[in-house]
Amino acid sequence: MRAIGIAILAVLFAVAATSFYRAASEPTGAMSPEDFARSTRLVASDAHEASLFVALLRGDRLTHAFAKTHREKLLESIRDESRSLRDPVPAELRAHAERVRALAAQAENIVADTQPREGDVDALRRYEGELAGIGDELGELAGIGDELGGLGAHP
Amino acid sequence: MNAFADLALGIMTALGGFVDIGELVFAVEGGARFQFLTLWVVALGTVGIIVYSEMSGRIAAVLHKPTFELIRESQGERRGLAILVASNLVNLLTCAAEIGGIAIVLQMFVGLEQRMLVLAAAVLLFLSIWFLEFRWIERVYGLLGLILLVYVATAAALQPDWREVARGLIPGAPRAGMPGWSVYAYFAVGLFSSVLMPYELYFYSSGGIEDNWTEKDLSANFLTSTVGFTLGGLLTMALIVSGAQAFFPRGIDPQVLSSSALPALLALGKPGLVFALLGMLFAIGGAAVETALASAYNLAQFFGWPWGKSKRPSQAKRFTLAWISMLVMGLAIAMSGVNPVHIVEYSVVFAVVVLPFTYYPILATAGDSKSMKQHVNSRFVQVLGWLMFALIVAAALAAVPLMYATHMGES
Repeated sequence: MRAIGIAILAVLFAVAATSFYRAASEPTGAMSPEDFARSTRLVASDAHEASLFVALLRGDRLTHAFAKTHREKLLESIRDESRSLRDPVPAELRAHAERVRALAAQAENIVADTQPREGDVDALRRYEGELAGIGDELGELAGIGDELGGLGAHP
Repeated sequence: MNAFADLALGIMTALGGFVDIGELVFAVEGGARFQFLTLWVVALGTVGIIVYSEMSGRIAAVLHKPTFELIRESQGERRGLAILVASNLVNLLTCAAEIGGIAIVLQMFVGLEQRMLVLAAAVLLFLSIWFLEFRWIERVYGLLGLILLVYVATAAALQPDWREVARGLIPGAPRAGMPGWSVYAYFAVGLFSSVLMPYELYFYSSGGIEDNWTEKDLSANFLTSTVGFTLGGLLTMALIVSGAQAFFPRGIDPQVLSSSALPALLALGKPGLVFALLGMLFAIGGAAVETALASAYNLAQFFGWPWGKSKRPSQAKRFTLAWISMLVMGLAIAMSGVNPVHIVEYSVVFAVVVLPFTYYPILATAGDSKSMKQHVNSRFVQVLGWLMFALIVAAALAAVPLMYATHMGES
């Protein structure tokens, strides 16, 4: 009897917790300006972190295994956020969302391309600057989402 | 000499159990987003865990009762059962996150495929719990977890403005360039919860009984909880300062575990990176062992089964099966490919909901002069205990609404 009670309580708790998690972490349906700003800001952060990663790679400051793993994790993070940016957005954000998607794809391609170019210092220097630029532009686009959502500027 | 060794061992245990994947993620991210503004939360949480771990250790030494036995006695069968289920689900999520975290750290060392390393992590954990005596589990994970002190050197090497750091010990408002109040509150509650994770008390009090504590060990318990958890608190603060210095000026909000190693690399070069990864490996490994064993302790103590690592598996069959099951279920969750960082954020926030039910029975028992006699809480400890309990209840009430309102702290 106790075992059944435990099993039922465990299932109920797990279902409730999973529902809360989904509701809390995933925007549903059309994306609000706030959701757009949040996702864009996360991609901006990934781009800035990727720029730092490339700088460290260029300076030969990373071990091979760490570089491989961190690159994979950064790519996963960019892909996750890019997926959420596929949701429809309000008309006034459509062009901005298009640009964000393009920048996210560009950042993803650059990060992936650092693997075959680990020894190419010039290419890495160029990538570092490009990723920093992408991060800055995404930060500005996130600010537009904040303003449309009524939150004001938010870095 | 033996007493000193026991004390050192206890301090290491407390330190090893304090900093896990939750701290490594939440603390560095907190620093990256709010600079030093969350330091006061860690200081407050550290006072809380010191007060309550000292009480639970004292109860274990005087009454020979571990925490979950107190919960069952004070809450009764039905409510006790609900707390058992909730606590062990939080333990399971935490254990799964720690197994996934170990795999990521191993991957940062060897670069192999992650799922294979998840399996390797679970096998290593199983072997270490199966073959090592309790004191050696404490020594291996506690002692080697101390390598994480590299973050103290990292924080110093990154040259923060120490006046600003000191100001962070006093609650303050988020400034321009930082997320707003709701996200700040979410991080405060999350950090508070990650410092006070219930499994620490389940493990600590059960460990006291495993180590055969008696009233003679009360001063060692006091020193262990005070010095050990203070070190853990300082280490968490060092993680916040490191995150603030490495990431805040660059506009980076670190989302992955590997990012937590970057500050050590930036400050101390490749040796810093290697030490940070080693420290993470043993600290997260220690937490995985603690959560697996804590769940088995909870079940055995609730249902009255024979328990203890000091017993042979044949003498404590259900206890042994319980910790093995916890590892297997944690392995299954980690193998599913869910991001351990997401699991741990989830478990940290839900743990805070369980906190009052874990902490109240300890406060009530340690303050009961009939059972504790001359070892009852002093007035000072009792008042401090109630103050911390009020904060724990407030955090428990705020946790889920904040998680929902801020999309897991993202906006």
